[in-house]
Formats: sequence, C-alpha cells, structure tokens
Amino acid sequence: MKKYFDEAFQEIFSEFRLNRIPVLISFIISFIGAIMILTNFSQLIYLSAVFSLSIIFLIEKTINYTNNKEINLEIIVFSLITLLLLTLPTILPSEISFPVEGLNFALTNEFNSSLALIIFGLIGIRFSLLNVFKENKKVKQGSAFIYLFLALLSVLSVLFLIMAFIFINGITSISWEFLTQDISNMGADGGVFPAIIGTLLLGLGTALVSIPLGVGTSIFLIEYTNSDSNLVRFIRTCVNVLYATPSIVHGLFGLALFVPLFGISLLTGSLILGFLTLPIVIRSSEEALQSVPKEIRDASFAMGATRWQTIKNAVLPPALPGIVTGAVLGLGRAFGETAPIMFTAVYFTGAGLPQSLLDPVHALSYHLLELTRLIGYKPVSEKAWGTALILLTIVLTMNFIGIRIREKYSS
Amino acid sequence: MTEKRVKEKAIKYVFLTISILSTSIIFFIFAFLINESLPAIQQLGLDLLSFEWNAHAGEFGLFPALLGTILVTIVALIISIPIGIGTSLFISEIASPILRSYLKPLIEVLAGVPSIVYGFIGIVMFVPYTQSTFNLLSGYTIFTGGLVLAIMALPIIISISDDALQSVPDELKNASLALGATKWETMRKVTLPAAISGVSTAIILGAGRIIGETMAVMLVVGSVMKNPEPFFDIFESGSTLTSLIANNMGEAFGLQVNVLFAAGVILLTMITILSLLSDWIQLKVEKKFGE
Repeated sequence: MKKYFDEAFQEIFSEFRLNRIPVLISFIISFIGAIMILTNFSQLIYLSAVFSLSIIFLIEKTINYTNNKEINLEIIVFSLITLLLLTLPTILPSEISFPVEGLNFALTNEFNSSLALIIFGLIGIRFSLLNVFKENKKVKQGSAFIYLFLALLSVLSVLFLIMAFIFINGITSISWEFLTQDISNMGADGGVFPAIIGTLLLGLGTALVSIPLGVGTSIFLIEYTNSDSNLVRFIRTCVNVLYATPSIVHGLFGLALFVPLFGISLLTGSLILGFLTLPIVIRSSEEALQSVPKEIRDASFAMGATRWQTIKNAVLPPALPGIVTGAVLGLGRAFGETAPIMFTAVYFTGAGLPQSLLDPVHALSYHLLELTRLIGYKPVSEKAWGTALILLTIVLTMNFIGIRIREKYSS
Repeated sequence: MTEKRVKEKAIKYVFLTISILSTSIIFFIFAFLINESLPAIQQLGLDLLSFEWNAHAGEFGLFPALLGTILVTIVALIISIPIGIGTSLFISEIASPILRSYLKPLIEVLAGVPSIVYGFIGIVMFVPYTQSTFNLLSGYTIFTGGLVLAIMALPIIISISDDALQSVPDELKNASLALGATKWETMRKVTLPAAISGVSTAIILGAGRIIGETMAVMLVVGSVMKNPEPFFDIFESGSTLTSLIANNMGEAFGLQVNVLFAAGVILLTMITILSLLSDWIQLKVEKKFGE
C-alpha cells in the first residue's frame, strides 16, 4: 500500500478499522454501478451486491452498538437506503421517455438503476467519510480522492473488459490452419494467411519509407540547425499538422496522387502508411538525438572529426534505441490502420500473395472490416474474433516493445 | 581538405532535401485534395453545405455529415473529459512513482489499440447495448459512435494531460502544501490551474482524434445522410464526414467523388485549425514555465 499511493490517499484505507467499512461499501456500490451502466445490467448481480453489502454494514453497526450502547441514527438511515436500493428496479418506472416530438429514446429501468447505484455510492462515500475524519477539509479530500480512484478503475476495467472479451472469443478460433490457410468463402472458411503476410509486407514498406525520411529530417533539425530558428519552428508545425491529419485524408491523398500512378498496390499502401507514420518517427528520433549530451559532440569535434563523422560515429550510436522506438511505434500504428489503405492497397478476396510491388495485397485490418460488415449475412463472426485477436496481439506487442525500449533508455 | 568540405556540404544538402520533402507532404495533401474537389465547388458552390443529400438526384449537401461530426465529438468529449482528467490526476498526483511507472506505459500501450478493433467491438457490444438501454429501434446511433470514440480517446487524453500535470514545477505544489493546504486543495487550486493549458492541449488533440477517426465510428453510427430531428437528437442514425467518405468512396463516380474530396478538405481544415491551436497553446506554456 505504502509503495503504491500517496500518503493522503493511504490515510483513508491504511488501518483496517470498522468505520472504514461503510466507505468501502459505498465505493464498491458505485463501482458496480459504473460497470453495470456499460455492460448488461443484471438484476441478480444488482440485488445480491446491495443485499450482501448492506448485511456487512449492519453487522458492523451492530458490533459498534454492542460496544457503545448508543442508538445510532445511521443504522436506520442506511437500512432505509438499502431497502430503497433493493426495491428500486421495481419502484422506478420501466422507462422514462421525454415528451418532445421526434425524441424516440427512453431511459430504461436498467440504465436508471445503474445510475442510481452510482449516485447512492458517491453520496455514501462522502457521508461515511464523516465518521472517519473530523475535519471537513479531510472529508472533502478523501471523497475527491476516492472519486478519482473510481475514474481510474472504471477506465482500466472497461479497457480490460474489451481486451478480455476479444481474447476469450478469439482464442477458440485460433488454430494452425487459421494462421496458415488461404482465405476462402468470403472469409467464412479457411484462414487469414495472406492477410498476415500482406500486413507484414505493408509494414516493411512503411518502414522503408518512413525511417529514412524521418531520421533524415530529425538529423537535419537537431544537428544542422539552430533549434530556435523560424525554419525549425515551421518544419515542426508542418509535422504536427501531418501527425494530426486524419487517416482517411491520407487515404484520399493516396487515391488522388498514387493510385493513378501505381494502381491499387502494395507500393501505394506503403507510401501512404509511410507518410502517416513519418511524424511518429521524426518525434522519437528528435527526442533521441536531443538526449545525446552536447559534450559527446564537442569531444568528437575536438578530435578533428567533421560534422558528418560526428553524427555517424558519435551521435547516432547512442541515439539508436530512441530511433528504433519511433520505428516500432510507427509500425504498430501502420499495422492497425484501415482507412488509408482501403481504397488504395488492399482487396478483400482474390488478391493472393503479391508477386510484385504493383500487386494489391490483403491486410488483417481490412479483412476484419469486411468480416464485420458481413456479420449477420454470413457465418463469419468466429473468424472475425480470431482476426481481431491476431491484429490486436500484433499491434499491442509492437507498442509494448516500443514503450519498453523507451522506458529503458530514457532513464 | 576541400574535397572533405564539398562532401560535408553535399551531406548537409541531402538532409535539407529530406526535410523539405517531409515538410512538403502536408502541402501536397492540401493541394491534391483541393484540386480534386474543385469541380464540386465550381458546380455546387454553397449548395455543398445544404441540408439535402441524395446521390441519385445529384443533391450533395454535406451539412448532415458536418452536424453528425459535431454531435459525435460533443458526446465523446462529454464522456471522456471528466473521466480522462480525473484519471490523469490520480496517475500523476496520487499514485506513487512506482504505481505510476506501471500505469503510464499501460495506458500508452492501450492508446495503440487499432480503431477497426473498436469498430468491431462497437458492433458486437455497444450497438446492442445502446438499443436495449435506451429502448431504440436501432442501436446504430450518433450516441453509439460518441461512446465508442470516447473509450478510444480516453488513453490519449489521459496520457497527454498526465504529461501536462507532471510538468508543473514541484516548488509551486510545495509552496501550497507549506501554507497548510491539503493535497486535494493543492491539486484543485494550484496544480490543475497551472497545467490548464497543457490539459486543454490534451483535450484539443483528443478532439482531433475523435473528429478524424473513421473505422470506429463508421461501423456504428448508422451511416444515414439525414439531419436528426430535432437537430440535437443523438439517438438517431447519422453520418460523420469520415464515415461518409469511407462508405461512399468505393462506389462513387462522377461528381460524387469530387464532393467526397470536398468533405476531406473540410475535415483537414478543421484538424489543421485544432493542431495549430494546440501548438500555439504549447508555445505559451513553454514561455510560462521557461522551458
């Protein structure tokens, strides 16, 4: 505990005292509400959660009562709230709709009950902290910290639920055949082998475009110019705009410029994805070059080395991990992109393995898009889960490697 | 000696050329998109922004997609800003350095989940969820798009605003703590106001990602080119600029292609403004903290 949180936060849960239990209960109630508002509301989980938590609370209060012999108003209030929560799904109208013409949605009971759970939990946290801390300041601080903790927990659990869902559903369709066979019957049978190869080839092409351009640009920016000059500022601004440019716009650009020249092909896709990932490579290499101490350059110059010799022999070797990070993160982005290549580089079926740079390819991301569109028309959902799992694994692995290298060398 | 100097000069010009090439890409993108959309602008003029989209009748009003983009962005930001900033406050200020060193990379890794995966998850999870929770005929709504995009933008917003909060000098925080303020008062009244420009950069960049996102939104938003009735009804199917382009470019011909390029120009202009705005704020921050 001490290792992981700030002191002020530890204070709330540090010692296990009985007066911490209501805080914990309110916390769990609002967390369950937060999860249920996004996942399917289950009456059973709801009732059992409220019921068991209130039992724990009542036991705690009874122990307190036998010790202090004081009649506690809280027991009555909390029992009433528990009763209210337990009967809430039946008390609330089955749906609340709005009497505005054209608005056809209604807030269903499931939504309202989850929302009520969250609100009761949040209020409960605030009031139960009154028993823990004497000063109003600390009560405020405690409840604010728990709210922030709830935000973190809900973000992490939603993201993990999504990952777990993909893993559980996807792992059953992963097999040797799925990885090595050709796509057949519009993706409903067979495997995704050409799509994996296509994605890897596109990644290779992307790296061949973005690394020379990106590393070259960052060397110019860091080694050959004054970092405050207007030229540098201008280049950075342009690179930032390129970084923010939506991927579909890159796709349109490719459609306008490269498709007339090279057709729908591996080459077109590589060029577009290379431009898309260029800003990522530039940023990481810039950071890497900047982190090389000035003394190293000075020492090299003092030995009579020219600027290029200095860059080649003294600056680039220590900056290499950072440059690799940029390349790896860029590749992770390129593997996952769909919008830039959908009109410019890929076919859903029939592309096979490309024989030359000017052939179209398959790609995992585009394959997943087409399978998603076919759900409901063809029995493809099992294959779609498998494809999603493979794509997610490749992209997250690349990201993980990139971030790990950066962590390791930034310190 | 002179040969060496010539070589050095040549190498410098090679790097200069590479930089000019990298810098010019964005201008090429603008030029080619505008060039392709010129016929649409010439033929339709301001009708390009009218309310009616009917490809068969030759009516190409982009307004429904523009409105859809704005509504989706608002929904996504309303969901993701409070949760995202709350989470970044926790990671930056309450978690210990050890916990932070686990959480920050985790969030950054999760920021890389491909948008098509979110689109797929949106169809199998969030479309049925929206339909049943809000008792709708169809779960393919603007709200669903906003919800999926909010989840997708969260790691980005968290990561950038955490960086902003971290850049607030410790002296400021310590001064406040020394005056007897609690940790929470310091966070609310000192750290957050000091980092507000960085945090707003995070929101702007998050908004940029939301506006420009294609795959996650096109699969769940319903892709119907009509204005919601009333205009703020987010529980109706709609279209965004990106989903319009992605859905129609495959089958488009004639003037419609140019209209879709014009939609791309609008999109790119919006994004460019946001990017320049965040750069400008960043510049102000650097001046403020003298870094």
